[in-house]
Amino acid sequence: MTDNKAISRETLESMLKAINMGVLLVDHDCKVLFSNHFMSINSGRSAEELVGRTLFEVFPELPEVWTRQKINSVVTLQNFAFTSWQQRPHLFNFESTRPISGLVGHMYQNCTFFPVQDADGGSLGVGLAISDTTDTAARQLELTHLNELLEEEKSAQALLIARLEEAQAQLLQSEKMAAIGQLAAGVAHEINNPIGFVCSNVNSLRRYLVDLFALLDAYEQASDEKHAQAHPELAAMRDKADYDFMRQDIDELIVESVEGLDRVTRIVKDLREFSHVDSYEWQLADLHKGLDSTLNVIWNEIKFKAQVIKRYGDIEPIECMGSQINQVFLNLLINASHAVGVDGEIIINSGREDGGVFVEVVDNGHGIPLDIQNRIFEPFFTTKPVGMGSGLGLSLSYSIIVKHHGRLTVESEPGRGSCFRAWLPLRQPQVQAHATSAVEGC
Amino acid sequence: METLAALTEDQRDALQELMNIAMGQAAERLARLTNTMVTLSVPFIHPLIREQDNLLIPDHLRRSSMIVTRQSFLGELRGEVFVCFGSMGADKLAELLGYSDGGPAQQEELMLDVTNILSGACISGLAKQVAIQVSYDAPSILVHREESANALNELNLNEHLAMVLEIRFEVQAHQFSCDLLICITERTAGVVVRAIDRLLYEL
Ligand SMILES: Nc1ncnc2c1ncn2[C@@H]1O[C@H](COP(=O)(O)OP(=O)(O)O)[C@@H](O)[C@H]1O
Ligand SMILES: [Mg+2]
Repeated sequence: MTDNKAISRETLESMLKAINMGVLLVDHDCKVLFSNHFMSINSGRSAEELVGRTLFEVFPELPEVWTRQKINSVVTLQNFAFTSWQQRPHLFNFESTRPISGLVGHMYQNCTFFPVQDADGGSLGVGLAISDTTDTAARQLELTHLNELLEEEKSAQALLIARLEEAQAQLLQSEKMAAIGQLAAGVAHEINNPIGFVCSNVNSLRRYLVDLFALLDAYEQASDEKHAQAHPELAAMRDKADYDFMRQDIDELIVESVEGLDRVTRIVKDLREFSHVDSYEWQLADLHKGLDSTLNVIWNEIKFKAQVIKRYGDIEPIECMGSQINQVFLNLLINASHAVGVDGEIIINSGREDGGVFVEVVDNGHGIPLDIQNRIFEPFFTTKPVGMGSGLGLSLSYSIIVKHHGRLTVESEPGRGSCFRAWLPLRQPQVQAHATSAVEGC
Repeated sequence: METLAALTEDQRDALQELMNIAMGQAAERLARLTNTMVTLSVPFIHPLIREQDNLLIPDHLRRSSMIVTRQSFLGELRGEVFVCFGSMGADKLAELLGYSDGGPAQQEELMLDVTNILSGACISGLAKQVAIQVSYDAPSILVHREESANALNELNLNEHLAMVLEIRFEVQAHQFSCDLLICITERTAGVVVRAIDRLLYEL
């Protein structure tokens, strides 16, 4: 161990003065008893100017009440106290220690307050050790800033990903619908031809049969008693074939077949109407026709669940993509049929409004809880069990209606039912075409 | 190795006594500093509550803590003090400690001050009882949760800890309370055990 006496008081003092951090000693009244070079260099005041004055005279930036309480707590508790650059960046108002490269204007500091005892162990005052943390602070602030940027970017990306997902889902869905539409149209077309000739054949058959029976009647009337007795096999044949019944039945069979053919023809027509293969473009379309064909297509799915009441208003054809609008009707009707219970009722309203037309699908089903009403249009949002719902119906419908410059809104009272309302303008604005040509013109 | 895990009933009582004395001194100094009534609950001592690397924090703290601060004590007795602040933080003490406005940085600083004062009072009290020197590092914010109640789940403990003391502070006139966890490392717990034994011997 070094002999303490070998190190003089002067040596210790000059060491304290030279040390590369701020050192202050103050008494209980905050009067400065000692101050080192660091403090002089950074405050621009010589030690002589500092010593003997209170902290607040020489460092007016120090909040007096707080500082006094701090000093007081160190004296009373005989314990350390601290300040950190994070909460109190510039305890002393010193200039930045990175004058050239740093972007910060002031020195960041950590400060420790510690009790100082005199030779007899009594309380002499409080020491302050001030360290320069500008470099660390600058670095950390930069990192924090970078972190914020990253976070921003991250959330922007998350948004993009969500949009991409949505777009992909829509693409998938519309591709699927297009494929189904094409398939339906193809099948419809294939069936259309044979049905056509079967129809005309059945009609011909019907006419031929009328003629045939007329002929038979004529023969019967022409043959007399004698002739009948001469040919008893004729009566036997007639009995065996149950001729009277056959005549009656043939009529019914023909009528039934014609009815059946009518139905097939209608279904084929609906399929074509619904799929609109020929109309993936803007066309004037009659929404009531679209609603009817859509209803026909899904009739089997809803007929046992709900009574459908049509309250069609007087509307004119609008410019739209028929197949896509039918897709919206289909989604709304299926959702409504899923929502209703016993005594289910689905009302379809339509009418004119605001220079456009509206179609409402109203059901008396379970309704939509308030807290999810703004989520149902999100892609993949579904409350239905796996396999029942994809959660895509409404999001797709929404984007279709928006693409048509219309609005799709919902009103629902949980427990009482829901009303989905699509409003569509009569004509599509020509903006897009104009806009591009205008840009090109410049 | 001496740990506090295997304390006898007597030793446990002695430790309790040791802490009671330390707490009493801490309360008295705090009261002197702030000119108010300071109540300290009787410390609740869990010797060696540890499961793998997780501190089993009592459920009520786990639920209610919003902000947790920490401060190390170093020397012959080593460890860390954690202070768990509830939703109202230390706002009620602002004036007592000379704070004027209530900005977020100042609220944090206030909590760090409270942490420093409380841990200093407790640890210095204990250190004095066992006649050793301790030093402290600057306190810092460990977890800051806006709303989550599980701030304490994030504590990752790496050194073996031998003892957890749970202390509840209340400054009655100011409706302030917070909870302190004092964790002492296993390697230095022997200091406390020896002090306990001496206390028992002197009795
Ligand atoms: N008419 C309705 N009544 C009650 N809830 C509905 C109705 N229409 C839609 N919803 C709710 O909106 C959700 C999303 O609908 P949708 O996008 O069509 O997806 P999916 O029908 O596949 O679940 C449904 O899961 C359901 O919770
Ligand atoms: Mg659906």
